[in-house]
Amino acid sequence: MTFDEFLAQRLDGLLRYATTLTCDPHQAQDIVQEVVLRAQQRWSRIGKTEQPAAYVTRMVTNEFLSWRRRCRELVVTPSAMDAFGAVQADLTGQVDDRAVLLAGIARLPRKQRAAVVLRYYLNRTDEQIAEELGCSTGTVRSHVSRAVAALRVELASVERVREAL
Amino acid sequence: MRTDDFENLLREALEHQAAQAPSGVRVLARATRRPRRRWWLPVGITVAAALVTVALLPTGEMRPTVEPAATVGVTVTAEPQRLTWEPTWMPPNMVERDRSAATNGSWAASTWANVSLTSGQKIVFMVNRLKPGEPTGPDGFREKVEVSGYAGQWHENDSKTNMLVWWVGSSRLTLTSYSISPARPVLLRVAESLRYVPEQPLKIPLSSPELPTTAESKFGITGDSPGKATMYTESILDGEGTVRVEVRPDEPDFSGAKVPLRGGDGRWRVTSSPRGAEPNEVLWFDLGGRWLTVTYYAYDRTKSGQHLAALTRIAESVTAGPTPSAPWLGKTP
Repeated sequence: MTFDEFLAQRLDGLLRYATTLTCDPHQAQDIVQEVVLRAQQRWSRIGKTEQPAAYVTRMVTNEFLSWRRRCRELVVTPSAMDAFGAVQADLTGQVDDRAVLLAGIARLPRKQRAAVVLRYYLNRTDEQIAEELGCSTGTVRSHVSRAVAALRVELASVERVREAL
Repeated sequence: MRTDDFENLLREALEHQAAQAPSGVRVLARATRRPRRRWWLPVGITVAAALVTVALLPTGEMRPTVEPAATVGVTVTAEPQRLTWEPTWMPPNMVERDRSAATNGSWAASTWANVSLTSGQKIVFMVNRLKPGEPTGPDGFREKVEVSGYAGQWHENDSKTNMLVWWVGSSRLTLTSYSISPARPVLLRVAESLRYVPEQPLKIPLSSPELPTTAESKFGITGDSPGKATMYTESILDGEGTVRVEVRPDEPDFSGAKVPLRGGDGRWRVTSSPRGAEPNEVLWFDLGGRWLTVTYYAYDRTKSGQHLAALTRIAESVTAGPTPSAPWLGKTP
């Protein structure tokens, strides 16, 4: 598979994956662009691997994690937050569970977020996620479990708001 | 909320998030401006393009819809049972202008265009042999389509480039359109018009021990008509640039400096023109009615003009037989 052909087939998928990780299309584009340029430089080697797509997907994951480390703080852009809606402020409006979840995902620590996306978006197993994140399966289960608990708390608080209205 | 309900909601939310992904246009635009990398060192690897045969369609799962016709294919000799396909329909004025294949046998392609390979409308039909571990069906990210009963997907990359991909047995078939709108009905019609043809390997009697074979090396025949066929082999050199060796029926249409070559006089031209279609360096030689050209397209044009010695070594080592007959050139389906 040539690099151009790889791009034609996989670029959209990489962007979608990066968007779920970053919760921000602009940041997703920056990350994928950086990964694509690096993959292009190394394509003579990557193209020979058994699964170039999995390799590049992992590059996106790593870029997301290191991107976060470089930024030090979890940064969700104002525009991204706008898209999620002002959940707590708008008590009179209809609160959308999906928006609550997305806002909650955006607030998760980076490894928890990556684990959730890999599990529930890419349908990866614990073992596959562990390999992707470079940790044990126990750690993966811990990440997912904590993330799910946090998201459930977010949803429950919205339920309480609904009941109060 | 039950666990199942929660997980479904979470999945739905992530799908919604994924749908907000940006277009890949900007990424593609930057990726096409290839980065500068180090120059390659010529090594004595023989290009096996000579008499190599590569399968245009390495699978036998698709049923023929009409009687076989005498057209092309490209196959690996180790797989003599291969079948090939050809389109029986193309948009008006689209003629076949190129057939090519990977030197390592991983893919083969035919290119149809209404004006030329570098301008106007174009459709490329490509067949890839799936490697172990490669997906054998749609990835779930794209709109699914069915092509003659086989699962496929639609890639809408930008306003000018679109792709239809489908899987048949151990092969992945792609039709890519350039500057065709609306592309979808056209590509679907071309895909559904494909018919089975007997194997007829593409043979290119052209070799150069000095031209490295890389994973992206390819060879083929191109031209506007059967009487104007050019055979070629091409290697992408570690991201630095592309070297292409051609045996063509006419002399390159530009002037160049005289240089010693193959016991006689060759010509060498260097350009730093920003025009994309113009090569950086060309070395050419009269083979007696045909012309041998060795062209170097640098990704970084500031590096042009530095490769005469390398190009000369390649040109000196070229062995070329008769240009194969290509009756399909310039023909409609």
